[in-house]
Amino acid sequence: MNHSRYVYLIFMVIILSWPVFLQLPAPPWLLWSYPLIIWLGLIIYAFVSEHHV
Amino acid sequence: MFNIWQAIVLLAVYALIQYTIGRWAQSSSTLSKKVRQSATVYSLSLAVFCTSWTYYGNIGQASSQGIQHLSLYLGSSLAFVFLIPTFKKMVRIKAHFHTTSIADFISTRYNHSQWLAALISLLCIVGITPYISIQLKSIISSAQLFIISSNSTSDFLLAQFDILTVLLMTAFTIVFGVRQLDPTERHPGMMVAIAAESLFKLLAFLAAGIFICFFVFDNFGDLLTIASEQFGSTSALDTFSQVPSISSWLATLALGMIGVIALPRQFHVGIIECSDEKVLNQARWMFPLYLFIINFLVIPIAIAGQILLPAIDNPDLILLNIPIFQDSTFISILVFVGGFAAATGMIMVSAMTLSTMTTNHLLLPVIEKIKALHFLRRKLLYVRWFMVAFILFSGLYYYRVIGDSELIVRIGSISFVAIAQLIPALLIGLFWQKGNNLAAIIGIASGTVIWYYTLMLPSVINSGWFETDLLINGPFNLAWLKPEHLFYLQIDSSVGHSLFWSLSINCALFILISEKTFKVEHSADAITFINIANGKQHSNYHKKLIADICLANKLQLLSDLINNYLSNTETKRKLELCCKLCEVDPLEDVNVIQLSLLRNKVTSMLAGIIGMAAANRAIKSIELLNKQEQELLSNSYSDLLAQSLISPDELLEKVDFYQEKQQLLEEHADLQSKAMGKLEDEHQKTIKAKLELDQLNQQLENRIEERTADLKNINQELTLAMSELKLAQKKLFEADKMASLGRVVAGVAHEINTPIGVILTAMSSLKDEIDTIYVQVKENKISKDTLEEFMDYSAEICHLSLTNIQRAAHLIDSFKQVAVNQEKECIESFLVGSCIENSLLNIKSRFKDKVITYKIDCDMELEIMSYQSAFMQIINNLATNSCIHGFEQQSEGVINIRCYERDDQLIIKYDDNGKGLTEDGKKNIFEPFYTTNRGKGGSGLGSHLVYNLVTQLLQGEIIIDPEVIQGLGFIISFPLEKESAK
Repeated sequence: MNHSRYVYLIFMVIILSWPVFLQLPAPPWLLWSYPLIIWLGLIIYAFVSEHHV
Repeated sequence: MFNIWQAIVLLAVYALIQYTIGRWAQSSSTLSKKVRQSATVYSLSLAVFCTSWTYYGNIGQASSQGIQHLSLYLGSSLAFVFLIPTFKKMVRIKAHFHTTSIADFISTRYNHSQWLAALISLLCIVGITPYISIQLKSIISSAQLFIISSNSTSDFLLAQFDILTVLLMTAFTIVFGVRQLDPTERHPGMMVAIAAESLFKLLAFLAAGIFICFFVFDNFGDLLTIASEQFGSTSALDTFSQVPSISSWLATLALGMIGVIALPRQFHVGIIECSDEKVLNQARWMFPLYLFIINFLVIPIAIAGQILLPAIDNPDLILLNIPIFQDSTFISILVFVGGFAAATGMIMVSAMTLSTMTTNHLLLPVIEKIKALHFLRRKLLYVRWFMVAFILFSGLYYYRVIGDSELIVRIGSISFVAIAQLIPALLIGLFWQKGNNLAAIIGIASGTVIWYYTLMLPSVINSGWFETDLLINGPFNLAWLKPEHLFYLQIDSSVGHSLFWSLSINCALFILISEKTFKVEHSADAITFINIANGKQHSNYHKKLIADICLANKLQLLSDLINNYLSNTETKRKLELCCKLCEVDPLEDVNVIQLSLLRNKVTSMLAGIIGMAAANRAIKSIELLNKQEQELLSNSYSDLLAQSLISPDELLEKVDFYQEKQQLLEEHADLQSKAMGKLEDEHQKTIKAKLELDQLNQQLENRIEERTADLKNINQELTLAMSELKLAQKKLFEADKMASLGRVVAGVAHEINTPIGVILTAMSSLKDEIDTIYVQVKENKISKDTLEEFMDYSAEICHLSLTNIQRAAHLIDSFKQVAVNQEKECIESFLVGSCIENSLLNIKSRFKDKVITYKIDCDMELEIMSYQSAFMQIINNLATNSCIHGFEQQSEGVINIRCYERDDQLIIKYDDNGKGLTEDGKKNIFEPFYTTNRGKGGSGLGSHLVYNLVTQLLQGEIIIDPEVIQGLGFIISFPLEKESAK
């Protein structure tokens, strides 16, 4: 799936830019769960894209 | 808590299990082959990335820095998922060049530079050996917590526990990783053992996490509530939600990315041990998932540690402390062995790959240079074993020297930054043709210097070994040279600071020098490296050249070279293999291209033993191709290009194009192959299903045949039974008929017998009297009186006889009526109500002595077409029976007759309130000659006559009304209209 590299790129950008979002007021639980959610999303996408091929 | 012997037995059992798994994985069974080639095992072996720094250290880091630890693993996951195509390319290159380590891999790219390989090996030794010391520290620390000292022997063994561990690890690494000399052969035993170890440490960590969160505490909510109460915060997470600085977060994220690519152990497991690049597809999600799972419970466990053990000295050991604190022996053992597994996995793989690097790129060049050491060339395997022990004991020494200093806390990050210096040469070199060995050496060396100056040195100073002036004022009081703020750069994270400067300078120098010193003619290997593709590129060009080089002489040169490192037999075997692969006959002459191919093949083979750089150098040293042959080879290639009418640049472009095209085609072929595989699977399933269906059909047919045969048998039996039944029924019917006839005959005989008997007696008596009178008349003795008496008597006899004859005649007439003569009857239309009334007129006149009330409920307009006389006879007989039998002992009675039509039938409900009948009487009432008034004038034919008229003439039916309780009732039904034909 050629488009998958772009999706991975989006994931990378989101994760790399996360500290920028940290400067915004946010509840502490969001701080803790945000990377985990993105991380899980990344794994699920990798899993789904592999099985779609 | 356990004593030292229990702990040793425990670890010995664990080691034995690991050894058994490893041995089994190396066996030739189908299952073990399947296991060692599986993507799951590969993915799990990648989890060697998670060392005791992950297992124990994450919790300690989370206790002090919140979620900072996640960034390392998030970065690793991101890099691994994102860079899978790059990983695949590296796997292809590894397979092509027979590379043995990251140093060999990078040096191969840069013209097989031995200097570069040596530099990388040195950097890896410097960077990784301290990292091994962290693992030893975790083993020792956990052992000190886990093991209770009981006597002096225990104390001694506990003090030497690190040595015991190192010895065990040395033995394990040699057995599994360095057992043979050709390290490019994969080490399936070790990889499966590492995979099992990864699985075990994950399960142990999860078991401990679940125990803490759901058994020590009730659940996450309970944990957070208690934490809130204890810490006085609105949310327990607040305590652990410290916002990491951007620089720190990004630096650790970058280290995670770098580590998963460039750490020697990770490179070895991920690239060198990769059997097939297809396994990377599954590892793409499975390895990040592993990292996710092992990190998920870190924060809850850290919170639990803060609640239960607020004064703990070493928060790294919270995971082990809590189960010990809770007296949970099983979980304590699991956690301790899991931590041991996490540390030993890293130690073994690192020691194996570092020993390979140091032997091939540091020791071997020295051995080659010094003649006195040449004997070691045949002892390379033992040299490598020695290096394994040396590296591990160096780690132990490092631990004993700095074990309690602050430096060891930071050593993990420091090692990662050191290894990061390989990234520009590795990754840029993969894609950029101009990168060359000089640039790579200068880039890595300068990056390493910057790393040492900005990170290693400050860490050493901060550990208290040197004065801090250098950090505060900079060298020679030059503030812009302060190690932690180089060029006045203010970054919170010292790791981020060092990473930024070292990598920036490394990259900048690498690119600049590459641009300045790039020469096309030196880039042949680089081009091959960059454009490497799967499969061989066949060419028939060499077949056009004249074979005029004596191969036997060349083989002798090669044999002498290989014999330096291998035994005679092994040398001969390897050379024969190379000749076979190059399709040349050792006894015939070859041309220059064939010789060149053979040279390349032997170089690859030798690289498996001593590394690519050393192999290349060794081949060059024997001058396999003399000057004339080299010129010929050069001319051949030029000729080849000239014949192709193409310039080298155009050739490269075309190669690029076709390789890209080939890659696309291969991807497409992969997709097609997978689709074909799926179709094949489906086809197989369909065939299987069809076979099963056929089998089922066959079974069904067999069953049907069996059932049919059974049914036929049963049918035959039934037919036979039916015949027998019919026969029996016929016999029964005949018997019944004969019995009925018998009863009828008996009844007739009985009824007629009485009057006949009377007549016979009377006639006999009269005859006697006549005889007497006749005698008297003959003798003239008869008197007038006598004659008058005789005459009177005769008259009386005649009267009696006549009466009885009449009675017999009446009986015979009644009997004749029983056999209903339909021909005499005629169908006519009549009003039912009128007909009933007319019938009852006769009854009323006959039974004037009784007060009988007749209640007729009938539509007087109801008209039917039937046998009127038969109908009247029925009513008459029923009423007569009621009057004679029903009202025998009573002078009053009521007879109810109700008529109505239903469904083209006339229904007559007749009942009286007489004495009724017994059950036996009801049963036999319609039998001929059955009467309750025998001897009193009843013949027993009235009801039978009614029955015959209803059922035969009117074609209806008659039953006794069960609803009538007092007296007797009948329900008669017959068609409203009889067909005229009848």
